[in-house]
Amino acid sequence: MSATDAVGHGHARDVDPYLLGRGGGRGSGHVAATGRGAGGPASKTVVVAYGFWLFLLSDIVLFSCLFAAHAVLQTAIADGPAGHELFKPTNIAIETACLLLSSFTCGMSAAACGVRNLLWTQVALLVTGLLGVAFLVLEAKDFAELVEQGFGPQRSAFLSSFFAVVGCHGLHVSAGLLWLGTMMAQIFVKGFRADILRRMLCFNLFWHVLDIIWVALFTIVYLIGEGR
Amino acid sequence: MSDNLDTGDVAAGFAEPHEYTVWEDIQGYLFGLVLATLLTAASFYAVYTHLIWAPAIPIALVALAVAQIGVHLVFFLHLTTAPDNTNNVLALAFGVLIVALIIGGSVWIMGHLDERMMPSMHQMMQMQR
Amino acid sequence: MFGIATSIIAVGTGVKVYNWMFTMYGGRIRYATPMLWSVGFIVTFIIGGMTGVLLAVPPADFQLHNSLFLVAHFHNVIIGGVLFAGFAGITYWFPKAFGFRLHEGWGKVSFWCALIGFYVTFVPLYVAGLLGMTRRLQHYEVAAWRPWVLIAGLGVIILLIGAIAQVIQLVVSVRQRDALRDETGDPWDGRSLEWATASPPPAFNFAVLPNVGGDEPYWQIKRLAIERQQLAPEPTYKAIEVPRNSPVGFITAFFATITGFALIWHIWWLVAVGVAAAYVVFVWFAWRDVTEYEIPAEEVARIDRARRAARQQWLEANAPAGGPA
Repeated sequence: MSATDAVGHGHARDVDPYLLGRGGGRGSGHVAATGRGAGGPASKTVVVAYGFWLFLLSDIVLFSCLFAAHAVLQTAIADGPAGHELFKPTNIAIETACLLLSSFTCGMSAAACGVRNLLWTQVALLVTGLLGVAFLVLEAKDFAELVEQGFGPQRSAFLSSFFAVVGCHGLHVSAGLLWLGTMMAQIFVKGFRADILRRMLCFNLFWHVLDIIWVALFTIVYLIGEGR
Repeated sequence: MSDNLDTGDVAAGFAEPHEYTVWEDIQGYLFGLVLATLLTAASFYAVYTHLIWAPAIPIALVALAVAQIGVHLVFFLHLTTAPDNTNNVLALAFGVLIVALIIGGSVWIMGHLDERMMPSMHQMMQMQR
Repeated sequence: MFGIATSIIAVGTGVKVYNWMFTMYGGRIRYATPMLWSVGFIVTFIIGGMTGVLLAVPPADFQLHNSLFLVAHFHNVIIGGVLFAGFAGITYWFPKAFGFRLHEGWGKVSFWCALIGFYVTFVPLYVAGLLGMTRRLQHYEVAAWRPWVLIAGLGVIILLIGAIAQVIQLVVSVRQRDALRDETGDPWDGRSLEWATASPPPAFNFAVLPNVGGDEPYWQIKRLAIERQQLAPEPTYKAIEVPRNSPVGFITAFFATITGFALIWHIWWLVAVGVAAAYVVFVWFAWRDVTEYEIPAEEVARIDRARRAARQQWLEANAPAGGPA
């Protein structure tokens, strides 16, 4: 059963691509819908990306635990400062813009990879990295200021959970930047080899998910925390 | 991109397996960026101006955040409801279930505990003032 | 809330227990060592689960929390659930992993000592818990508890004998490994696909991807081979791509452990060293140009033909009675 056979079957007008129901009793391996075994096992790209997606979902579950802790502790301020006294909207807006733009430039690097353009891939990756560094620098400055004023993670349960969830995100961004640097070096030295492309795909997934988590973060921690 | 054509399954984060011009690719990302920026701006406005009735602000923010996450998933991660993406969407659905249980469950249980437990000395003194 | 959450565990478990019982019902059970451990697991786990449901009743738990009743309950489920089931699995799959069986006699000794020792140890502790004895006591002065604690002590000695028997089992099995060799790869007359491979399996597991048309595919293959008194025809062998081995996972984990240790004790320079070292090792690994190697078709054929020869021998030696494919 070659790949072209499977695709040929799939183009028959009466085959529902979603294949709801039992496939007309034909069982597996006869139709081109996903996961039906047509054409044999999935390609390496599909397997690697799916596995990495599952890992990212588990990472999201990790963040959800930290979010749950923060949601419960947002009012446990122990006579210390509450959210609206601490958060500066301009900083948060700039950080959000940095991360959102870096997500966009990361997508640009994927587009450049698609046409195997070395220069634009490296440029897009570099801009992504610089925006990520800007984000981290702003966040680190914010943290340092809070600690200086005595509002570090030991001050109250609210602040502990705040530093935990935002700090965990920052650590992920830092690890992502290390990975970014490594990817830039690898593409430069080894070119657009199949396994390097698979890694780029995984890196893209990682960076976009980081921005997704930031959306949830700034909404729950900063914006909703504003109101309390 | 060529080894994606055997099975009709699509890798997460990958654009469709048919031939895509670079400009179409970039357009998708641009559109996603514009939408995400609008949604972010809306969130900030909701909080820092009085456009929305105050008690409804948290729900409005959550709705805007969910919309923006959706924009990210579709335009940046290329996670659509196309049949070759079913595996990825199913995995996401399961992830969302777990997240909802963890966050919703924690808030629910801790809220109940908060209600039912005696206030601490500190809180009782505050209540007396 | 606590009562509901605790009781909910029992619902799914009950379903699983009925599942196992009805799987066994109507079959011919051979009480080889893995089966003994499995049945011991089911019985012990059910009893432990029941005392857990008792503890799920909040007023009862108010009395019994942190008593020896609780201790006996969780040992009941852990030793029954994790240990006994774990030993069942180990004994069952040991031949597949290492190519020879574990000594059956010593296996049975260790099982009976573990089972009897477990009950002699922990049932008195249930009683002591109901009589008010708490956990983590350095010494006690209540005379009523003494007989129960002494019986539990006797039980511990039986458990110790069981543990020693397991060590002896391992030593004896290794020394007698040629006599205990698993020639065909199917020591238990199994039904699932892992028993279709040799013991231990080659790097590629299956020489050709098996075509699975229903459940118990290997059983179908076997029945067919026995009926026809010959193995299925030789498949067409192709080269197989296999990933290269690497110690990097282990090394990175080592540095991760160092980092964790340093974080706990605030040894910041060691944190930096651990993280840097882990990163360097990982990047060095990612720099590999060759991540796979290919096993040529002739080599696959050679290994698989050896497996088929062993099975052919078995088939001939056990002509009408039956055997593996």
